[in-house]
Amino acid sequence: MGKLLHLPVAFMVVTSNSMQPALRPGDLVIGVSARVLHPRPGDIVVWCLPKALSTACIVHRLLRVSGSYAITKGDANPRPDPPIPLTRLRYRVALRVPVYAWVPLFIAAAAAYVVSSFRGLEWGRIPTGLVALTLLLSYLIFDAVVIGLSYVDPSPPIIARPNMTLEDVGFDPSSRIVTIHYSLGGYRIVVAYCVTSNYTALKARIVPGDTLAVKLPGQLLERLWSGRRVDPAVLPKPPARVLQILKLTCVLRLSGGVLVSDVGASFYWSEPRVRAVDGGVVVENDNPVPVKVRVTIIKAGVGAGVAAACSHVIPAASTWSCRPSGLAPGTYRFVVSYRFLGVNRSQVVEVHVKG
Amino acid sequence: MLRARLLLASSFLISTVISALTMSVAWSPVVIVRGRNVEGVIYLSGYSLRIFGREAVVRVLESVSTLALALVMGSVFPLVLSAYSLGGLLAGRERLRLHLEVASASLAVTAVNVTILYSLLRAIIAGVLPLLPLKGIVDTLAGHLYLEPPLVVYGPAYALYARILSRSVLGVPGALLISLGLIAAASLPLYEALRLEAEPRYTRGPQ
Repeated sequence: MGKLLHLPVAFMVVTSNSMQPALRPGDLVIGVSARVLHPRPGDIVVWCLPKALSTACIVHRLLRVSGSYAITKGDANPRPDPPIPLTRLRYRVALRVPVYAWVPLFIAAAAAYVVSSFRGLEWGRIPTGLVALTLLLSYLIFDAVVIGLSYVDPSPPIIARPNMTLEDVGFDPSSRIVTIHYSLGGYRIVVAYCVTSNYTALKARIVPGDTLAVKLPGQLLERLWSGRRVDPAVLPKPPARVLQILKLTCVLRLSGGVLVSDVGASFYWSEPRVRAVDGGVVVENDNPVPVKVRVTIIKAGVGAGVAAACSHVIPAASTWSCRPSGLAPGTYRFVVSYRFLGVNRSQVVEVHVKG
Repeated sequence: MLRARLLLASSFLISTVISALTMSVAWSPVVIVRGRNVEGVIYLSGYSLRIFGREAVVRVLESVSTLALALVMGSVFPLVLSAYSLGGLLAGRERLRLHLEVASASLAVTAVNVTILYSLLRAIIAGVLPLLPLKGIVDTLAGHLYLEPPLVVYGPAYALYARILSRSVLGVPGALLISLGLIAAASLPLYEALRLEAEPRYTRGPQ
């Protein structure tokens, strides 16, 4: 009634555990109007829902005041309540009476009242209907205490989120396998597949330990390799590396649901690495795709022509050596040419051929 | 006198049956959920829910279980009154007028209790159940998890709410109709008590 009529003092019975340990369910709190006792951060306050004629009020702690809004939170709740206008702060809790104190007192007082009311009354002189009315009123008073003083705590449910994380994504260029490691918090992968951004479906192998192994088809990587273009002006000196991110959407059928997970598998397109060896060069291709390489061998010195040439398509993640036979002793320049992400590039290595 | 006794018996029977039913509804499950993601049971008088492997805390249900005290008391009250009056009648203390008044009060209390039962069931069914992640999508750090719907078994309390209490006749909810009916029924014993009061009294003894 106090809450409904905005009286200076109101009584409320705590109904939930949201204010544990400061307030326990069943405790009676006595609130004094916020106009009389101004609430400060740290005080326990009573705020009410905006419905007209509503006694739905909540007893929580005032955390802070921000402009014309108040932030409150139940001590046992993990998150604060949504901001409420200051005008809805009705009372500051001035006193708490524990449930074991006020309930016996209330019952004793009610019993004493009933006994004293009927003492000395002669049965024959009690007006008809008075007994029925008294019984009904007693029950209604009890209801008024339990329901009228109580409130339904509208705090959102505190529900755990599924503990699922994408731990790591790795790519091995030699095997063309993307390894996706999840932490699924007890869920088991039943079946899984992944889809690329151009809707190519890829079968995923389930590896124990919440891990998926997805083998990328060579054609897919070759399409990426041939489709990727870079600005020659931004390429550094060879051997350059350019980051490639392959977006996959993996669908995991779990024991309890379906997880749709966007995964970015990253790797580098690398220019072939060229090093001089005795009588030739070794070209290393670290890419997951074959690279066509042409080597032109020129005798060092002015006016010298092409002494020899060799070319080869180096398979993915492998090495090739070019050692032409029949080269006269001397110093040669090996010009290794290739096409890297749409740009014609070359590397020059000086090689000494011994006799 | 026979009419008064019949009224008494029928009113006690009605309030006893409805109160016992209300009491049993308070302790019977509203909904039982069994699934990989959500598992537990919700009663009017309490709940136990594990969501994604951890105990869920639903403050609304805590409040409802406290408010269910009113429901339990509202069921115990008519049962105690009925027992008192029936005991009195069986013991031969025939204060028929008193018993008729008790019966009237018992029916009126039962009427109020039915509305409380309806409100609490509505708070759970319309307010709490939609908040539980029984189906839909949950965002995780690994992606979107489309939840597998759990097995949801609705208890007798839900059936009572859905089939009787929330059904409306001409826009009036069933719970309110039952309450109005009980209040109307409560007036009959009271009327009978008044009629008894108005009858001439005969006293034993020498003429």
